[in-house]
Amino acid sequence: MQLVTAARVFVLVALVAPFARADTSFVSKVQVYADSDHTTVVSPVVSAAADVAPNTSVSLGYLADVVTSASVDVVTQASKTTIHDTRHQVTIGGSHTFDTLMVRAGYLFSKENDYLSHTFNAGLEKQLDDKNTTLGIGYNLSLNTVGRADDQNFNRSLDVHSISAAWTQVINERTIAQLSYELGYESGYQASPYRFVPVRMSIDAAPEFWVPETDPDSRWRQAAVIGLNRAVGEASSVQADYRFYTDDWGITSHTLGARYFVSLSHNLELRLRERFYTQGAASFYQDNYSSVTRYITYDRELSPLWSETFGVKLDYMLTTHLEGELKADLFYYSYSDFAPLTSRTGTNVGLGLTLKY
Amino acid sequence: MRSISVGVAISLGLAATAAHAFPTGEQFDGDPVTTDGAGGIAFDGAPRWTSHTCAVCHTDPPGIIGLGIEADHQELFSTGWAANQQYHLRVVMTREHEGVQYASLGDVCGSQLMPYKPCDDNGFALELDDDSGNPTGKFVPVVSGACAAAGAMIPPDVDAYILKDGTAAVHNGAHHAQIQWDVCWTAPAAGAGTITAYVAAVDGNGGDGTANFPNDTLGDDVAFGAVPLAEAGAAPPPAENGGCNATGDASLATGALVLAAFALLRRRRRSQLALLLAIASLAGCVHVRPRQRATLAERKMVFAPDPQEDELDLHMQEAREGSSGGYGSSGGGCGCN
Repeated sequence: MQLVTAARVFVLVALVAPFARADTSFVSKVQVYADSDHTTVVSPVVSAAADVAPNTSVSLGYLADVVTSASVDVVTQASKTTIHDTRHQVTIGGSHTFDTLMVRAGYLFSKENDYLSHTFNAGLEKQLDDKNTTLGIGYNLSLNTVGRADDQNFNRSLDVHSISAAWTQVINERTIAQLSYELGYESGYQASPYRFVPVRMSIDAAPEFWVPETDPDSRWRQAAVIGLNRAVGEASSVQADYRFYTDDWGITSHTLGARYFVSLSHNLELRLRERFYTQGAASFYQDNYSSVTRYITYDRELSPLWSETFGVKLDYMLTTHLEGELKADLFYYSYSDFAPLTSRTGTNVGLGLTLKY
Repeated sequence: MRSISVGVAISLGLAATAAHAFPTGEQFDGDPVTTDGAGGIAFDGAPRWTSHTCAVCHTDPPGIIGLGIEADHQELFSTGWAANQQYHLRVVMTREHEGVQYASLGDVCGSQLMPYKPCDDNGFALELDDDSGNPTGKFVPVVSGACAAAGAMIPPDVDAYILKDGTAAVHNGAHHAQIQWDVCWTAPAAGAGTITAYVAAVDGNGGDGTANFPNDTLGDDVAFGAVPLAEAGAAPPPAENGGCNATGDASLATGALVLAAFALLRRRRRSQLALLLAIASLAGCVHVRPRQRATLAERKMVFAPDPQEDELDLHMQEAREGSSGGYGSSGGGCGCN
């Protein structure tokens, strides 16, 4: 007898969601970033989440960025040629579900040698049409204090507001789409306190003098993302998304992302991903300033650039409740109009463990 | 992929609590009060039982196992079921992970052994209902690889037990460590329309490894779903109610619309974009019911399956690119000075 497979479905927790269940997880990861611009960032992360009541969950997390850098930024503007800094970040959050409405709120605290940040966020998600449609809105407020190492008198503020909206739509039993939009407004100091801009007659000439980088004090940002997830066969899926971004500094960017998930065995999953990014320059960016202008920058992130990232990740179910992961990303950045650095390559590798009950 | 249904039961339970499962098929027919049975309910997710599944008792399943239905006639799942045709069906459980340490014992386990050895007990339930939610067709067990003839003597070690009222098939419980079960089903007469197979399975963990708790309902895994089967020669199953109808491959249509959106954005024709996006979801979607979301519930279908990784990646990208936003805010400091 030849039997033909009709349906193979891996039923996850969402299918038993009507039944109250405790869901507790503990995540521990470390990610190491290293690039050809002599920058290394080691980022350990630990986080925990738990359902404290049938409709209420809380989460707590800690993240650190341990930075060592001798990039062209550092070399060109400071007496020290290598910096060491550590950023600490603590997050706390909670959510509660009222039937088809979910309310969430969170707080994030971040501190490093020369930067202090308090971020508050809140949001609502409403499920409609028998959960075929989910609409979400959110608000984010980040209050930042920018300092400068070894300079007690340097103290600037930066406030960031953003509102976002998302629409997630089930297209069919194997396809889901999402459209999101975010509007952000930044007010305050947005330059680098360490970055000085050479003023010279030509890009090959010796600088006549250096002036502090000066960016506009306000910035409106807009970003829209459309994404599509599609199951392929019985053990794989393809995800694709596109982001359009624009701001009133004149930067426009396009981001294309694609991910492919495939189950190699009952406890091993492979993810391949690809990301392409391209942006134009800010309106006030110049590769060389022959005179001092109102806004003047030496920031390559405001120059025209493109980047390419390819990554591989393996998730392995060690036991029913314990999952390990290993990932490696390779990336390349190209700067067509930034003389000190024309390209940057690097890797981003990580490993992690997730314990879930 | 369509979906699945639910069902199952395994375990056995000597515990004095109410958390007993059904190691044998007969217990599904047992009186709930006097024999701790199921009262004729298969718990396969069928609407007539308000979609209750084995997850009612086998709570907190990790959701790792998968579930499938196979048939000897491929067209059952393509062109549809044929009137009065008998189908040899096989319910297959994949990714078994509970109680597998006892699987090698096979049937050499249980309380008849001294010392006691736990069993790897799994189970299933299957029911096929018409559009009105009423069971339809006729089940018979598989005997020696073939569908049992009418009136034939049924040996005690077949895979499937047919409930007394004939409405569902469940595991017989004669053997342990089973991950697939065969049963035959004869389709009804023509005109019944779309039939839905509700199927479920339980991956039992063998209790706590002692004779005292061999088959409680805790620590097991569960899968369930529903598979719509069209009637051969009839119109395809109607789109489910929900205000939108599927025409062709919705995902392909949406993909084309994504590209069109990209083009409009480049031309800064934003008003047309809004209209386009509205069409994108309304033109190509169907109403997907909860029991049909097995695939959508998988991690690989989640837009942000790893928030910690996303946070790290977004923070890195936002520090090295001129853009930010749209995917959710990473917030919090710079890490890039």
